[in-house]
Amino acid sequence: MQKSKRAYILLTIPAIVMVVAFIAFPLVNGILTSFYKWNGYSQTRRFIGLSNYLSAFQDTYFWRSLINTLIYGFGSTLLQNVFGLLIALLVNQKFRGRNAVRTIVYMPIMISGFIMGLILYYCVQLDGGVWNDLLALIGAGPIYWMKTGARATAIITLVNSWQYLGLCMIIYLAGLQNIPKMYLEAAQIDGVGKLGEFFHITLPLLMPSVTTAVITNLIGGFKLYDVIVSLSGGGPNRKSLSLSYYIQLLYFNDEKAGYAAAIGVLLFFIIFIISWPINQFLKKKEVEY
Amino acid sequence: MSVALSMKKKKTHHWWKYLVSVVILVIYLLPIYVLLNMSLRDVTDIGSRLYLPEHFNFTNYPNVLDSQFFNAIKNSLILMAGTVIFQLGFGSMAAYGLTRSHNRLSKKISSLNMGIMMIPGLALLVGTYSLMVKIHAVNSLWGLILLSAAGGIPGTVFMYMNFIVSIPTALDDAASIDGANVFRTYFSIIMPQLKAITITQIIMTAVGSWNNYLMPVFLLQKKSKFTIILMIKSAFDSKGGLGNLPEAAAMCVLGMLPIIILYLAMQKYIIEGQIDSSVK
Amino acid sequence: MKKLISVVLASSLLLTLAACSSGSSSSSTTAAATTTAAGGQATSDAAGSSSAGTTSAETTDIKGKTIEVAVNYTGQSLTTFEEVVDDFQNETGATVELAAYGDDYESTLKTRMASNELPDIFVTHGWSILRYKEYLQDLRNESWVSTYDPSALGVIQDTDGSIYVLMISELANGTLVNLDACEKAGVDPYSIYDWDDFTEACQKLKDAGITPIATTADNAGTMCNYAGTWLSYENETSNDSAAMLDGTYDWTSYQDTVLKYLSDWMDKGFYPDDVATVSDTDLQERFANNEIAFYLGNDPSWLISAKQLNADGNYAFLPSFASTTDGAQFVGIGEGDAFGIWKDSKETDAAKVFLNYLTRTEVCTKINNVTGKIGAITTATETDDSYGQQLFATMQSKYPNVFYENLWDRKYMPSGMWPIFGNAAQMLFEDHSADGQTAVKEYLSENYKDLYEAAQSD
Repeated sequence: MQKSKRAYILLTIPAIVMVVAFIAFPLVNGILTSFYKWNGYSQTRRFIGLSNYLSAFQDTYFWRSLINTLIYGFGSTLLQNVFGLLIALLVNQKFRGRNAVRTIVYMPIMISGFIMGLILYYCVQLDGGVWNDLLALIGAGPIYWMKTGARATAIITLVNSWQYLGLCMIIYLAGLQNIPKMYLEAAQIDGVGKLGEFFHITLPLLMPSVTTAVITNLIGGFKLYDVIVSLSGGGPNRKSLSLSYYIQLLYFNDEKAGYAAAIGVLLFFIIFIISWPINQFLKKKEVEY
Repeated sequence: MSVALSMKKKKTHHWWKYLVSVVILVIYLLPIYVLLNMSLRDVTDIGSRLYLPEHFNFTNYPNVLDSQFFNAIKNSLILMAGTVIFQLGFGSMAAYGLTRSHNRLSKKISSLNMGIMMIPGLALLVGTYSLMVKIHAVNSLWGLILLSAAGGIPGTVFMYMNFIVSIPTALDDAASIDGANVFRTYFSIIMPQLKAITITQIIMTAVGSWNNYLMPVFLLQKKSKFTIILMIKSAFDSKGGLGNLPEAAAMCVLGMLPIIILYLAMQKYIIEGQIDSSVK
Repeated sequence: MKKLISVVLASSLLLTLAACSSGSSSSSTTAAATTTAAGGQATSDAAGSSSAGTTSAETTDIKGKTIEVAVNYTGQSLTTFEEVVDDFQNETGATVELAAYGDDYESTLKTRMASNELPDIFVTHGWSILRYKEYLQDLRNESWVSTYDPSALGVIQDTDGSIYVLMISELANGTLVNLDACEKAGVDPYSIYDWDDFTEACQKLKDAGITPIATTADNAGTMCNYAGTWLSYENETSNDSAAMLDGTYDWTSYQDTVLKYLSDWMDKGFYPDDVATVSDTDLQERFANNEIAFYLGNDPSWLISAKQLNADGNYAFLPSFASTTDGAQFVGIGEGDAFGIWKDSKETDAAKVFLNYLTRTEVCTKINNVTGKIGAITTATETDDSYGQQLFATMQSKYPNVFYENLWDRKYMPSGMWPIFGNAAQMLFEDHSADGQTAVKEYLSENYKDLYEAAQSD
């Protein structure tokens, strides 16, 4: 028995080698780089200790990007869950065409975020954008959708939620279909209203689905990058950046590789801290099996 | 909001369901319409993208179907196949090993694994890039395959572990009594049990790889190594030269078409697989 | 002194154009003559640029060799360059691996510098000296150097006389004008001399419902391409060139002039309403629709796109305006399409043959015609009737006293400032209040000091 245990460990070695080579090693490499002032391509670089970390705390763009990352993570999660649940409730009804709705709502998940952002860019333009053309149909004036960082961030959150809503819908649909009919029938007999039925029976029974959906969405939201690139380019004035995008700009555009590495390390730990309670929860869930 | 009211609603032929459905469909199909609309224009047609083009120009499509386009499709397919094989092969094997060897180390590894899943790839950009440059993996599909597979392994391991725990160990034991070693047990006993999740994982990994933008854009710099997403990106680039927006849009449609067809054809597997893997 | 240089440059540019109108046969003989004269040390790689006899020699020379060529062309320009490469391959039997990075050209080249593995030939996009010289071969002994337009030499020759690139075109930087839009508003762009005249003209345009000034928010050019007209040149508002070059510049004069004018224009609503996020593609469409009148600090080749969208559009290229009535109007000359050879290239000979091939009249003309840039090789300018060239020629005839110099940031700023100016522009467009202006000034000042020190320590 002991021997086969060792064999089991052997099975994990290729995966571990890959992760060590392409995740652990770059992390160490990044941590080392973060102590240097380096433009990213020169053959020489200068050791500056913790300066890069100290400047991050005084960098308004860093804080802004951090807040945006949290908005993209938590905001998308909230929107996707609320609207995903609502659409799931709709599609769970019996009517002709519900499969079409399900198919179409899930479809954008198949399309690259970069391309979705690209298309949506032609919707949100001030001049000649499709949204404003639609507004013109009802006589409303053009709106500069991306005018401020806050608005751009909100629109990116919306677009991201819109694109990945289908996942939540599917998760909740499965959850809804697993709720035994008799609970709902019992509720009807008790004379609980539709809303009461939803809050007292459906929602509690959906809780496992909620946690799955929340975790999946959070992971996606914190990593948000390619939609922003093509939709806003991080603008106006870099106010809609996620930390991921900020790191990329610092490295490739601003020629501050050491600083980019430092922010990468910070991002790594921030996400690790946020995901810690989630992991604990997942582990508990695993025990239940 | 009583039973009577909801009964009445049924009688009104669900008109509100149709209304809501139509609104949802419009919201979801509008961007697709905009893209198609853009792709059928003359380059000089800069009118509103909400209304139909002044003149339908179908030549944008054949115009972008050159050898570079097909080369990009080929690169995307190679990347896709390589990533699927390494990520799912190594990932599922490791998941099996981790689930079955109940020791402290394996538990540590699996909890660490979940932490890694959440880390955005760009957090490691500087380190990753220097590494790829050092091992001469820039501009090579194999380098990108290994990198993408490594990035996907934690998620795959997590997913497979959830499924493998529900396979009774009695099956393994029976196999080992028959003299099968761990590898054989894994391939001939465990893998067949995981067919459903494997199909879903293959599709999702493949789609993810096809759509991957992040690492290809930094690692594949030669046009001969471009994936389809990079071709589309460069078609939309306008700085430093003349762009052709309608042709770029046409290329965008063509590049997405395989995925959309795959989705419509395999919808059942994709959606049900997604349900399976998320409910677990 | 500067005036003198400007006169020399201007007259040389005029001479170039004069040569354009003369018969092609005579001037190519001149070029051939200078080639042999300069080519005392010339070997097989210095084969003449248009003689068929030497071409066959090239063929045997590099057959089967492979060179990697990295370019930043996109769209139509790229297609044309690909044709050139195909012809070259057919003729010589060598293989060219073309690397086209598009908008990511700069970032990808950086990664290749980091690994010290550059393409055999690469486009230096304006930075052959400041950024790339330690990676490039000195090509001053190549035969085509003698065919350079003198204005071109001023841009790409290093202080020690080294020349790192073959530059087939130059980039002229000034004011782009939509004549149709100006006419509609009753503005005569040729009557504008200094920035105050310009402000007045903009107000007229604005009143007529036309957006006066086009730019994207992240365009670094907004902050530096015409900054010199206030700060660095003779008889302008201030002259801080010396301080800029010795690292002591405190940016006060920058805040008092450049930032003041830009903020004033923003206050008056001269920029597009969506300037914060607008893309170049949108601006080109609006230019073509006569919704925008000026684009400051840009290259005439930008107008090619507008011309493609609206073939009937009338556009012009003007200098950047002066800051005082005594100041000179200024045209920045920068590297256009310039190709360097990596110093550690294993295929130097093949690479040199390729560069020679690019100097052929029909080849560089073909490229310049589609990019719209201004030819820098005198043997080719005569047949060059690119749109950019036409606009440039018109400008020269209307502005005989214009002052030419290298782009301001390449001359007075340390390497690495360009993206900083881009970020600063975004900051200013978001907040141009007094505090915002100070923040921009401090941001520029800090980064300038940092980069200056870094450049000294290298």
